[in-house]
Amino acid sequence: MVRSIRRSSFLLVFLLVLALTLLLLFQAGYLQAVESIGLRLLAPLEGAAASAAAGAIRLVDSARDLGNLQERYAALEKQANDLLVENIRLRELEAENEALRRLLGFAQANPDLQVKAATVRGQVIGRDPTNLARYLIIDVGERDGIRRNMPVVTDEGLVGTVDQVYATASKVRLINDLDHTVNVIFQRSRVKAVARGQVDGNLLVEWIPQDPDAVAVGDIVLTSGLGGRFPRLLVVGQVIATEQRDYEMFRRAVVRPVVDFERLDFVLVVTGFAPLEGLEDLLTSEPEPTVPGPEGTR
Amino acid sequence: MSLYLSVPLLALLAVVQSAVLPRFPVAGVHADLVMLAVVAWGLLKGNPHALVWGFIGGAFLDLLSGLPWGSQTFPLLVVAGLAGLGGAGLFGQHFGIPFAAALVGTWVDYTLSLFILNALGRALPPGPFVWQVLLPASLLNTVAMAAIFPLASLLHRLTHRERLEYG
Repeated sequence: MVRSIRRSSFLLVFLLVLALTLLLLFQAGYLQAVESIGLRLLAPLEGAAASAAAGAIRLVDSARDLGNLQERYAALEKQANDLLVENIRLRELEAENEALRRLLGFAQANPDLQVKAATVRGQVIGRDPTNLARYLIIDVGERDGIRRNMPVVTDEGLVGTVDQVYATASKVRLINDLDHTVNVIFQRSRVKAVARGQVDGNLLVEWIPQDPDAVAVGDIVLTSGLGGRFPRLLVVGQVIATEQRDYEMFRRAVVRPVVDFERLDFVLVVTGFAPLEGLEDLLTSEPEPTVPGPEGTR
Repeated sequence: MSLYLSVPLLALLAVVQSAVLPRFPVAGVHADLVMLAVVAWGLLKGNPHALVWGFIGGAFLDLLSGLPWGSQTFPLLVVAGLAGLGGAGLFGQHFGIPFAAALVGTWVDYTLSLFILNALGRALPPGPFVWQVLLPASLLNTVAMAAIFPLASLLHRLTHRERLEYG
């Protein structure tokens, strides 16, 4: 018994020292190769597990959808009609916008022309196994041209930033991770601020001026492009609550991300885009609030 | 159970915890499958088996997590060591022991992780952490233990018989 306890104590101390050594090696950046090999071995297993889980979710969704099919059909038909009308209106606006930009000499300001983004499509094969961080593991890495700090998006909006890159896989820090910040702009008021991830999965937008028109529930939040880390005007989320205290210089708003991170199967990694620093100043006449802190990771 | 079986089993559990469970969150969190397996195995086998499982399981979690290496291995080693004391019969044989171990294991695991992450400059706000992560996770893990412990017991019986046959 005594020998067993002594053996366990020795093992505990040995393993704790080993864990501490690994921690120090990681902090010094010496574990990259080990992680790369480990992820290369686990990635196929993760891909298979993720596909199986996605298939199960789709099956459940399909069964649920069958029950509401009639109702959804009618709703979609109405939506299609509305979208048709909206589409015509948007085409008119686009044409008008294009003409105005040409006249003003700001042709390059059109994000569709300006942000000629090269993208790499990656499959989401895993998520952070802990409840303490929000990461995705995708099946593209250094071999595919992925580099650290590249923005990751979907057709819905901004997903996050590439944080760790290995040969065949990468870890993406989501925008609602506690350590992630992004410079944003409110679509309606054009006010710029900083959004930061929260524990509950939403974003907290800070440094909003006390102006009552600066932010309202339902406002759409976009990337501002300031700092050059993200293409501008990517959808980040929608304001679901605002906080205002008279004794504070700035307001705060809670933003729900538009991207459903739990259902993500594929993402696009933006491997190259033209940062548009300074362009926003030319397009808007409002004074800019101070944007403290670096964008991306804290 | 030999290392040749423990390593792939814990790798599989870590992959399921990373690739499958986050798709089905309950109250914003998912069950800590690896931690529960380590606790259950510790209660059944005691130390040093629990410690080895704790280290291997923690290393796989660190590999798949975006958090720094050691932030999962360290706490899981401590949790495994405590659970291993249960395997020595220190906590008795009451049927509620696995559930209590899951609850306490979650608190110890998360609290140590919080300290390590804070020490590494990743500050989690304590209030939201307790209400939105620690409490739901500890409840979920306690409930999930109802499925994990019987499976671990079955595995224990199977591997124990194997050892008797070949031993």
